[in-house]
Amino acid sequence: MEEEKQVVNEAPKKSDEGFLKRYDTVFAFLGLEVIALMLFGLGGATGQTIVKVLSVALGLLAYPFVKAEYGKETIKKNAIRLIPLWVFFLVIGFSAFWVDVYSSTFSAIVLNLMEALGLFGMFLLGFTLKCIKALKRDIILLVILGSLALYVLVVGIYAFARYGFFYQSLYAGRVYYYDGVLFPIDSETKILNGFAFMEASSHFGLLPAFLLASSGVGLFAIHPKKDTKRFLILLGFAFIGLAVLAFTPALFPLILLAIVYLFAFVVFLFIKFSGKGKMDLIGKILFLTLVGLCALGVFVLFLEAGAGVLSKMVPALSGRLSAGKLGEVVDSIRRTMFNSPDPLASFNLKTFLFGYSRGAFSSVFEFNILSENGIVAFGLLIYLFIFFAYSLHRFLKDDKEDFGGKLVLFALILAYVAYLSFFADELPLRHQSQDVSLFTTRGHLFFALFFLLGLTYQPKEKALNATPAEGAEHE
Amino acid sequence: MNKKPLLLLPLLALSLTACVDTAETYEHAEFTTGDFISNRYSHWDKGLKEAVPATASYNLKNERDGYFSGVATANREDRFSNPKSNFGLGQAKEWHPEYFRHNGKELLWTVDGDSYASAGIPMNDIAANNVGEWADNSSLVGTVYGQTKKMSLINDKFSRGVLSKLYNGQIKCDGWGFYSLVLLDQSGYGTIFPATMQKGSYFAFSARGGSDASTGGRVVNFDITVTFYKKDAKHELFATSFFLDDVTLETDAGAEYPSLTGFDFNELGYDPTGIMGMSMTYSIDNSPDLETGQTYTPEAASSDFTDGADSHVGLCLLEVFFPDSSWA
Repeated sequence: MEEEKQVVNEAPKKSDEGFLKRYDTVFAFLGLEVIALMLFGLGGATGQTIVKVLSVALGLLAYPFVKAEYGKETIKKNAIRLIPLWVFFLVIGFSAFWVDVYSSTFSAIVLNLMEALGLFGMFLLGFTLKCIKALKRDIILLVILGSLALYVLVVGIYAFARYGFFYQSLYAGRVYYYDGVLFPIDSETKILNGFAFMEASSHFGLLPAFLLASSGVGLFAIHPKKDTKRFLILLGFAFIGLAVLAFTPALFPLILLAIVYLFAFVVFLFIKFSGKGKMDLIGKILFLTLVGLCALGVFVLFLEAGAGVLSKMVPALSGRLSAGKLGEVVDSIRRTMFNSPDPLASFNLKTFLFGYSRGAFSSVFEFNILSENGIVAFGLLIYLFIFFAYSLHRFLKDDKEDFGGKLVLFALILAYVAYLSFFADELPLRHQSQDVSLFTTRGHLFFALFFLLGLTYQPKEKALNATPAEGAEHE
Repeated sequence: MNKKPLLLLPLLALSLTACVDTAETYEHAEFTTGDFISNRYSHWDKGLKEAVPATASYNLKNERDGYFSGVATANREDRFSNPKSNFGLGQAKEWHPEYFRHNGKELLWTVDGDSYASAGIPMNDIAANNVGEWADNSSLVGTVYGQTKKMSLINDKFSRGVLSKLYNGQIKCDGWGFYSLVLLDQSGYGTIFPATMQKGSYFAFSARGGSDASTGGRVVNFDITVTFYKKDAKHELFATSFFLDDVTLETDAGAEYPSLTGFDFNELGYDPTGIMGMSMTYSIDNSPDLETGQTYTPEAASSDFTDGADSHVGLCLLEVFFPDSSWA
C-alpha cells in the first residue's frame, strides 16, 4: 500500500547500547506490570491514577529504546504525524462536559489533566514496549490476555454465584428492589470497581469478556498441530470470554462477536493473500466503500438532527429516527448543536465545538464523544479511525511472522470499537453514586485501547536494523 | 481413579451458592398497579405465624409511656376536622426531642420544616429525581429525619428486597404513589430481618391511611398491632406484641401527610436486643369516635381486601425505623 519511506537516522551510541542492555528487562517488566494493572482495573480510581502516572513516566524514560529502534528523525516525523492524536487527548480531557462534571476548578484541571496525560502515557507505553527487543510479543499478549482473563473469571464467577447461570433469560422482564427502587435484573451484571463488586449495566460489564472472546481470531493464523501450545493457550483465553457471554446469556453481544470474527477473517484473508492478483485493489475499494458509507450515515444523522431533513423527506422513518438507538444518537447530536433537545432552538457554537455540558448519551460511543467533547473531538476521532486503520494494515502486513499474535491485537482493537459502537453505556452503575471515573470513556479499558493502538502503531518509516545487544534475547 | 469428575465440583459449588440476587424478583407491575387492592403486600416469612406468644404483651395508649403519634398536642383537638394536622413528627418531638438531634443539629421531617406545605408537594425528604428512579440521598443525611435514621444506613443488608421501601428513608409519597409505600390490609405482613438487633432505643414508623372509597378524605383511627420476634434458648421464635390503640392517621386527605408513630423501649421496659423480625396488623376502629363520630365502618370501607367489598381502607406504611440501633 504506502511505500515505507527511507529516513536517514544515526546509529545508536555506545552509551545508549549500554542503557538498552542494562535496563531492557526492567522496563519490560515494569511496562507489563502497568498494562496488567490497567487491564485488571486494580484499585479503582486511585489505583488507576497511579497506573496512568507510571505509564507516562515509563513511556518517557524508555525513550532510548524508541530511539534505538527508529532513530530521532523518524520519531520527530511521527510525533508530528500524531499531532491529531495529541490534540484529541487534550480535547477529550478538557471539554465543557468534563470541566463541568467536577465541583471545583482545581479538581477539574488536575483530574482532567491526569486523564489526558494517562491516554498519552498508555499510547506511548504501548509503542515503547514494542521497541524493547528483549520483550517478545507473545509475552505481551500473555499479560494482556491473562489480565483480562483474571478479571473476567473473578467477576464472572461472582456474578454467576449471585445471579445463577442464564439469569438474563430465566429472569427476563423481572425486577428486584434495591433501596426501595425497582431495577431490571436481566440488563445488569457485576463489575469490580476498585476492591468492591458493584452492579452495572450488562453491556458495560460484559465488555472485558467480549474482548477476551474476540482474541480467538488469532487462531486463524496459528496451526493447531505445528504450534499446539500457543493454539491451546489462545483457545483457552477465548473460551473463558465466550463462556461468560454464553452463560449469561448475552445474545446480542454473541451475535456481534460472530460478526467480528467474520470481519476479522475477511481481513485475515486479504492480508494473507495480499500482493496476489487484485486482492490489494479489492481490499482498498472495500475499505473506502465502508468509510464512505459510514461518512454518509453520519452526514445524514447530522442533517436529521439539525433540520429533520430525513423525517421530512421520508415521513415513515420519523418514528425510527426519534426512538431507539437512532433516536438517542439524533438527540445527542441535536443537544450538541443546539444546547437543547429542541431543534427549533438556536444553533449554539460553544456546545457544538466543545460539547454539551449536561451530557446526552446514546449507546454509540462515537456520539458520546461528540456530545461530551464537541465536533472537534468527533472530527478527530473519525480521522484517527482512518489513520489507525492504515497503521493497523501496515502492522499486519509487515513481516508475516507471528501473524497470529498480530491478529489477536487487531481483533482486540476491532472488538472494542465494534462493541462500543453498539453497546456503549456511558453511565453504567446501577445504584451506587455515579463515580466519575466509571464513565466508559474514562474507564480502564478505554486507556487500554490506546495502549493497544500504541503497541500496533506502525510508522511508515522502516525500523533501524539495530544489532541485537549481547544476551539480550531472553524471556 | 478417574479424577475428571472432580473438575465438576467447583461448578456444583457455584450452582449451590447461586441465585442470591435473584431469590426475590417480581413482575414489574407488582404492587404498583392502578388497582388499589391489587397492590396489597401480605407476605409473612416462614415461621412467624407459628411463633409462640410471649408471656408479656403491651397495650399502649397515645400518652407518655405509651405510644407517640404525629399529631402535636396543640393540634390534637383538630386532628379529625383538619387531616393535615396529623402530618409530621408531632408528639415524638415534644416528648423526645433527643430523637431529632444529629451532631447538634435539629433534624427535619422535610427540608421545608415540620409544617406541611400549603401549596405544591414538598418533595424534600428525598433527593429530587423522577418517580421510581434511584437517587443518591446522602446529601440529606444529617438534615432530614428519614434519611438520617433509615435502616439501610444502619446496615446495608436492609437495602435489598421489596421491603427496602420501608428502609430507604422516604417518609412520604413525594408523588411516587405505590412506589413509595407498602400497602397493608388487616392481615398485615411479617418479615424476618436480614440481621439481628444488638441494641436499640425506640421503634417508629411513618404511615398514613389509604382507600379506594369514594367517600373522600378523612381521618381514621387504626388499631395497630406491632409484633417483634426473637429466638429463645431453644432457638424457637417467640413473639411480643404491642397493641397501639386508636392511632389517628389521615386517610385519602392527601398523599403527603404521613405521621410518625412509635414507642420508646426503655419507657416500656422492653429489651429489644435479639429482635430478628417484626409483623404488623391492624383493624379499623369500629366504634364511632367519641369526639367526631367519624370512622370508616366495615360497610363503608373494609380493611379486608379479599372480602369483595366495594371499597377498602388500607394502611400505607412508608417507613420503619429502629433509630440509633445496631445490628449484626
